[in-house]
Amino acid sequence: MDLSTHTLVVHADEKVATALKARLDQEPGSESRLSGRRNLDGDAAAWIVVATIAGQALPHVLDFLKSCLSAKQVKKFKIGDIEIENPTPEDLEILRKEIQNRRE
Amino acid sequence: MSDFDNIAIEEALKSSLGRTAIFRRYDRENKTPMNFVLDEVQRQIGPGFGVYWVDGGHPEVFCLPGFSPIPVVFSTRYLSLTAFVRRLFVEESLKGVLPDVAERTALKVIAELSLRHGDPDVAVLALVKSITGKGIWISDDDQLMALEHEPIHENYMATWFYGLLHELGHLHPAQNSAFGEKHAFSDARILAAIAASLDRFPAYPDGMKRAAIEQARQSQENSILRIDHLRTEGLADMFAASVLFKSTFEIMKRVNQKQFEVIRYVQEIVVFSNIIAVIDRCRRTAALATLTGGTRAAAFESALHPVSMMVRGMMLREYLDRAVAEYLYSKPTTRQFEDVEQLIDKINGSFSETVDTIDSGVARAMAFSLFPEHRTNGLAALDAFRIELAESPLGGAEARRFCELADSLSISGKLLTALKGILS
Repeated sequence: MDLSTHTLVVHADEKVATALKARLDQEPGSESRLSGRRNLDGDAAAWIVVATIAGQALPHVLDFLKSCLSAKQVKKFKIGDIEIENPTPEDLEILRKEIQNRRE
Repeated sequence: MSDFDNIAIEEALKSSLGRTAIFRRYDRENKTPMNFVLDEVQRQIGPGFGVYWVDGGHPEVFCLPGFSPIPVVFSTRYLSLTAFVRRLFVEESLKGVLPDVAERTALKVIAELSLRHGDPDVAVLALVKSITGKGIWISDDDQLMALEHEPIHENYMATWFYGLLHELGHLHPAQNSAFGEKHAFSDARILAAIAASLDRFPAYPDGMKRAAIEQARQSQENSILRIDHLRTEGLADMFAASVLFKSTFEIMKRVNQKQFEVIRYVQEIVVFSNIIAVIDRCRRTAALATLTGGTRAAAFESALHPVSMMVRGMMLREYLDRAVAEYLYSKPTTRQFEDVEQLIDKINGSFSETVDTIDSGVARAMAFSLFPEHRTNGLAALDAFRIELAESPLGGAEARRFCELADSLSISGKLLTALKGILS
């Protein structure tokens, strides 16, 4: 049984960030925060989600994010010490396998 | 603050600021001008915010209102940059060279911001354009020490705190208020201000103006002219101006270095609202520009930015007229109000030529960055820079600092590699 927890940081547009937050809220034991990033001109085009999630839930969250990667809606993805700018579905698949390997 | 809130804010800031930025929560115990200002902010909006002092990284001030307490970022790089841009607006000695200096300054800011928001190759082109053939070198490096030792008066307070106070203004309870139809922040008045501002841009086609008005009405649109967006920004501008007014007057009385002058205060508000407009235009350009050209929607949105700043200027002006009249006359008569309006018109007028000259320089820098037809081939531009480099040690030093910044942000690109090759 995987008892690890991970800290996840995702920069995305509002739609994806809001959907991700809702998805994270379904995971038992996870905590998350969602915020727009407001600059001086009031442009809140960038949104950020920070969460801690259980290792068991991580593959589901990565699968969810993979489905949101069209049209560069996710700008940055960070989990632990791994950070990916403009992630592709392939990047997340590699990451998912890497995390699975670590668990095994 | 829960442990998770603490972790979430740290992670959000680390990730937003880049790896090289150093940040810390600002200590509210020390007796500093910043704490003097923040005490007034806290009196007005409560304690639910935390200011984070950031050295290095991107020149940006921002807040993350979804966290608790709300982190508000105070970037020393942004402070240095605004102090640098301020010189364009106030230094008489730059008048004769202002068109060139303004364009090069805007290109440099676009270059730096493109490293974060946009295309690193455009960043290199903008940087090379900003330094090739440059005759006048004004340092835009870290100004922190010099700024700290300035006497505490209107200029000091506006330079240090206008941007920060604007961000904190987003947290004011009035942001959630409803406004009656005649209020300056009602939908009807803001829409009227948008229409009036668009009329001041005769070169914009009528179809574009109609589309802009239509977008302004739609709350689901992401337009810079959206009514609720302008209301939020207008309120934040007003909050910044009002806290600055009160705290500048009071701190000057307390430190007694010089008497508060309301005209100087108004001058600084006029200058800083323009500085913010310049830096924001550069930031938006940086986000939109690519090596192959921007989208039509991006160019449209960029063209509406000066309109949005004009609407905000109108809303701020209402506050300034009233605040200055009440400061000077306590209970001003209609005639006294008119005198104040004329006084502020005169102050605005004294900057209009400078603002227009700077705007034209910024517009040329934007055209260069946004539209490939306005620039020469990237490698040809780098070659021109290479030829000049032997006789331009300052240009070489500036380009090296830019490459160091790119490296610290782990940014790579074809033209960046070529630039490093020239410098090596």
